[in-house]
Amino acid sequence: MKVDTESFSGPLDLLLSLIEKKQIDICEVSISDIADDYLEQVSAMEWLDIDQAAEFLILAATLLYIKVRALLPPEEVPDELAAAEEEAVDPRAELVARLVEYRRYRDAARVLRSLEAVGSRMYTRPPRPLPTPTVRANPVEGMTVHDLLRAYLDASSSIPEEFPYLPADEIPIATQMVAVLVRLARRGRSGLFEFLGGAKSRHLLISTVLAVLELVRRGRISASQPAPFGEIWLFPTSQAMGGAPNEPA
Amino acid sequence: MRPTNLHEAQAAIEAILFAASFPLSVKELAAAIQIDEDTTAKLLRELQDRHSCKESGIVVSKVDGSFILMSRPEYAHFVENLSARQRPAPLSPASIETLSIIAYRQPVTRGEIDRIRGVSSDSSIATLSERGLIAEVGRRNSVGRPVLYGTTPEFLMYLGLASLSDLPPLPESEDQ
Repeated sequence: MKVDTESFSGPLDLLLSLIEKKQIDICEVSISDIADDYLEQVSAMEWLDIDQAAEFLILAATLLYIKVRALLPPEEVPDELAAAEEEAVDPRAELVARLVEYRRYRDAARVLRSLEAVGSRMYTRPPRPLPTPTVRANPVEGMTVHDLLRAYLDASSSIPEEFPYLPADEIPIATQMVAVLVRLARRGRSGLFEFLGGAKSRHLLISTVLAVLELVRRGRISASQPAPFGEIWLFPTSQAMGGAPNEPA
Repeated sequence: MRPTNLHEAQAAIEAILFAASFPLSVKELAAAIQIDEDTTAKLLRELQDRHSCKESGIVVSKVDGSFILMSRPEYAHFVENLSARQRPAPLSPASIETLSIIAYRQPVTRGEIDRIRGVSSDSSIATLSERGLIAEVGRRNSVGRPVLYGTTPEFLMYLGLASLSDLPPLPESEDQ
């Protein structure tokens, strides 16, 4: 005989089904009789999972214990065991109570099963993305300059004193771009080294080189170097006339 | 823009429910059609009635206070005939038993579930969580702060229940 372990959700389920097969009330059941049925079933099971087997065997041990106790005449129960049992719960009563409680949820599960048969077969569409909002509310609606100033002051007052500031550019590139453009506009043509030779600091030197590169990139000036390692000549291009250097190219 | 009359408003609700295909509350629907919630609720009830006959392949289901369009269960096997729609595997005996304990005793710990079932529920809890039917809802303030489990709105939808109070009553223990 083979018993499918999957058809029982656990040892209590198996025990309960054996009791119900005999059509006996849980409270009236003879554990001794049912223990034999249970052991027979458990020994016929094919075990794939050792943990699962252990769970069925624990209940088997409990049943055997109850059976052995019932077989022993009361006067034969050793004194120390009897003393321990007076404090402990009667194992039979405990098992019956567990079965009664378990049965409530097993029966509830059967009701859920019938609901599942209907509910799980009501289908919905897989959601597709709804259009995302394109018009955003104006986040500064109703704000005045004073509100902004107050917000700024609130925010800046909360900055701790020891807040580490990044060192600012001492000479902004934009300033040097203006200087280069002004000079070229006035002189028509200038040598790069001439510019750099007048630099009073490393910062100024770096700023000037970057300013020249930026102006060339934006097409505001052109540069040419007639000979390798020779002077690099800077010329204003026609569009260099007028307009601020920060204007996008 | 708001609907010019109640017929249009009801059609708009239907359109929204169809397009969304996830549960929407009366509040959300009312906001979308710019009509007060009482009227929206009334229109929803009418919409439910209109779809309550067998001639409608679609039902307006109420799940946890929100509404969603679903296919009528009577026509489930036709939907399943579409090759892509396999009937979802029903839960295993162990899983549905675990689910019933969680449903009726929530919030409940793993230990309590195991004690009632007399068997470890680890794999069942994992399966149920994976299918979104249960979720961790907190921790009990006792030794070890065990995780508490409860059911989700997905659970209600899975069983076709409008709310937890629609769960059939737990069988009374005859011997108490």
